[in-house]
Amino acid sequence: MNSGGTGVVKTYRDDPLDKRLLQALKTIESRVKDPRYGLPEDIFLFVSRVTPLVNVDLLIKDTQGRTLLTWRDDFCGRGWHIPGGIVRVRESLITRVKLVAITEMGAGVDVDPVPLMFNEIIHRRRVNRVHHIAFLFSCRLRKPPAEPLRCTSGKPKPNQWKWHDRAPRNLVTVQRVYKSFLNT
Amino acid sequence: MVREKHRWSPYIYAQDCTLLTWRTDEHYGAGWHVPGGIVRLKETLASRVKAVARLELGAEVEFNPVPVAVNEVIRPARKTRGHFISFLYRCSLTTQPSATLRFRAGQARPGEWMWHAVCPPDLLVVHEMYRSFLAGSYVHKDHK
Repeated sequence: MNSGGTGVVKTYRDDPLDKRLLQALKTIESRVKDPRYGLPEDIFLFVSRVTPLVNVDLLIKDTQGRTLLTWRDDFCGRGWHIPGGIVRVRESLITRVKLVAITEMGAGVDVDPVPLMFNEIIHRRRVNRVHHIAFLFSCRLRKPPAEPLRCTSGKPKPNQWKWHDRAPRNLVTVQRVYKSFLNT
Repeated sequence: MVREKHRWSPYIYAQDCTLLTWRTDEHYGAGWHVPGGIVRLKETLASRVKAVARLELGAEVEFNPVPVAVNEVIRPARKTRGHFISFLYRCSLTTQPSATLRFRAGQARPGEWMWHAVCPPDLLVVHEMYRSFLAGSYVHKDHK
């Protein structure tokens, strides 16, 4: 198969520049203890500059049909967003969905294993985190989310959560594609 | 956090046959397989579908933008290429594939293509997940 299929540009082990490249890659790899548990930030950002990333987003509804959103204020922008996370190597999409629920909401979830949709998100002008393939999963919390992170004021803080009966005006831009799921 | 590779596979279907190409390499062994490729940075799945058809078959395709299957392929024992998310697209050729790459007889060579009326016994092991889609064992809902 040619490079049209594999995405590989051949290197040559007897080329001095390629030898240095291989050595550099060994150095980088030695800094990654276990990629299943994440990467050092600089290495992660490098990876995000050279290949697409896969992430999962959790559409969590309560019995009244409201959607749980969390507040973020970072590279992705400032606003409410559907919680989600990057899938690690050799980790299934469903495993990441469950881990996001536990780490961000402090609660387990039941997940519909068939995603509601997937989206290709490509940021032409960004340097880092430029390309995501995002899978949206429908989830139900098994218990209420962590009370200490509930947003009770008009000035939310990062990681705080709140139930929304429709898409808020300050939904993060990148997730406007999900608006229709929030308004039903 | 680490990348995953997003592999699409254009499942090219025409006249009740499926086009497969022969592959022999150190990673996956030898066998017929559904042609496919790795999605590059800032490239859509649709772009890669068309690019692989051109690069591997010398042909143009049209395809249903809704994949017929999405598979997570995780191989814990592999050090490299241990995790793929594969999107399978149903494609139709709009031009003929390269005549020089057509398999004719004897031992197939890497890159050669052939129409298969039934799923071949020597399907690449990693593409066993597609067996039910291949001609002879699958009826697309539009054809029922």
